[in-house]
Amino acid sequence: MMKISVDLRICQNYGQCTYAAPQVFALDDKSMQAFRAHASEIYVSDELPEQWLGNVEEAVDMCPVRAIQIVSD
Amino acid sequence: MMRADEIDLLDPRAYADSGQPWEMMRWLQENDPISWQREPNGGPGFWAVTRYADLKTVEGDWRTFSSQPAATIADNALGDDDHRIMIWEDPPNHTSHREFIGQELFPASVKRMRPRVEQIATDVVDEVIERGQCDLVWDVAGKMASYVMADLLGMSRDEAVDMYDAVEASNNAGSYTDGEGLAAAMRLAAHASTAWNDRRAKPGTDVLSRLANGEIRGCPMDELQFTLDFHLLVSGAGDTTRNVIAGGMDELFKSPEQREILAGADEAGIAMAVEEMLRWVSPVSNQRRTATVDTELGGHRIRKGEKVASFYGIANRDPAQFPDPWKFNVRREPNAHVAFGFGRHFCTGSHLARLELNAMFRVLLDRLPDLEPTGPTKWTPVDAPVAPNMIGPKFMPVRFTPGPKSTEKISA
Repeated sequence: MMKISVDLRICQNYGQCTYAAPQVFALDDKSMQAFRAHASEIYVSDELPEQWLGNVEEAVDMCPVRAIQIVSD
Repeated sequence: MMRADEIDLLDPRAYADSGQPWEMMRWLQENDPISWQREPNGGPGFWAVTRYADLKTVEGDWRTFSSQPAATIADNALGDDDHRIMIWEDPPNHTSHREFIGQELFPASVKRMRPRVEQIATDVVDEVIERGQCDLVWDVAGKMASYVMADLLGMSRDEAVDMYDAVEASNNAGSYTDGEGLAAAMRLAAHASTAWNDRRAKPGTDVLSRLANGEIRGCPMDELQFTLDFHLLVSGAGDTTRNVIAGGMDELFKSPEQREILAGADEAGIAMAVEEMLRWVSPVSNQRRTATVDTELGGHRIRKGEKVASFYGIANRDPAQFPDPWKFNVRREPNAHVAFGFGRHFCTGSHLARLELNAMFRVLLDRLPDLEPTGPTKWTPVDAPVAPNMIGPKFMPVRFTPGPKSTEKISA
């Protein structure tokens, strides 16, 4: 199992994560990172299924501002 | 075997045969990944970055590697201290300027454009389908990019097409302040001036109307800033997308087995192939940054004020990031390419570009399934005065079984 954290102070809503891992990331109807509804500084996800790891790693790699991290327990 | 002193990344002749100076760049990536390169026209020279990880280091660190005064290797003087091209700015000004320019290009807006863009792809193919032959670069790829730009900017398709040459010349002339580059910039400025006067007098609902009557950081728009924003929008929207459509199709012609995979692909399969075309074509050759302090990069001392240019095409073929990087593979996954750049200046138009590319390839594969070349693809002319910065095929004669125009209109 794994979690991700997104530093919403760094995130600029570029939206690349939504292509890489659409199961995890979304933008709202104002093009803002949807996690902003749940946190203002650092968002930490619930446990994510291991089979999403490849996509999540790609999202980490693609984020233009390196705002995403994989957090393992 | 290539020798280091034979390498000149800005020699225009190196771009004639296959689009980009692949051999030189590959040699540098393997042997001298942060390489001091000479610059034409008496420039001081620049560091060429050819590895994926180094490119991300440079483009990911705007404090050390600034986009000011220019993101082109040549020091072009456009604008002044109060008027800048958004991609030649650093945060915080870049951040608010991007927010201002980009509204219609952000994902939520682009999503709403989907039916329009799909209709344009259909219209473009309708214009050629009864003929059985065309130039894929101009008649298909170039029109797709121009018509979408027309739609976005609220101009006629004819006017967008009319600007097309000027955009290309301006992107590839190296300098905006003399020769062909200046002439092209003047033509674009005339279009910008017309747009400024029109949109100020009678604002519509298009992007240009919003820009002309808007304000950035509390400063009302003026004609000079409008001209710079206009120039950025049209140069970003034109030959970039065109080059990926044409360059992607050129590679499919060369790789029949890949084309076969794509022939039966669903939406997700096409989307994956489009990413590989972006990686493969990398239509923007390079972007430059300037060191703001003495620093170190890959064991080299970079001094304050030195230019550092990252080359996207070769970074997108770095074996440390992409297994079997010289293989065009429409099912490549993961594919975290840097064709749209990296860092704060990641392409603002990337969402629209992806929408256009996906719509275009779906229509081409569906309606012109036996599309084939009738002659060699032509790239940068051998006598080009300077190395191009936007790279793609210039001419691709093709044929296909003629078909009827589409009778369906895609409803919004």
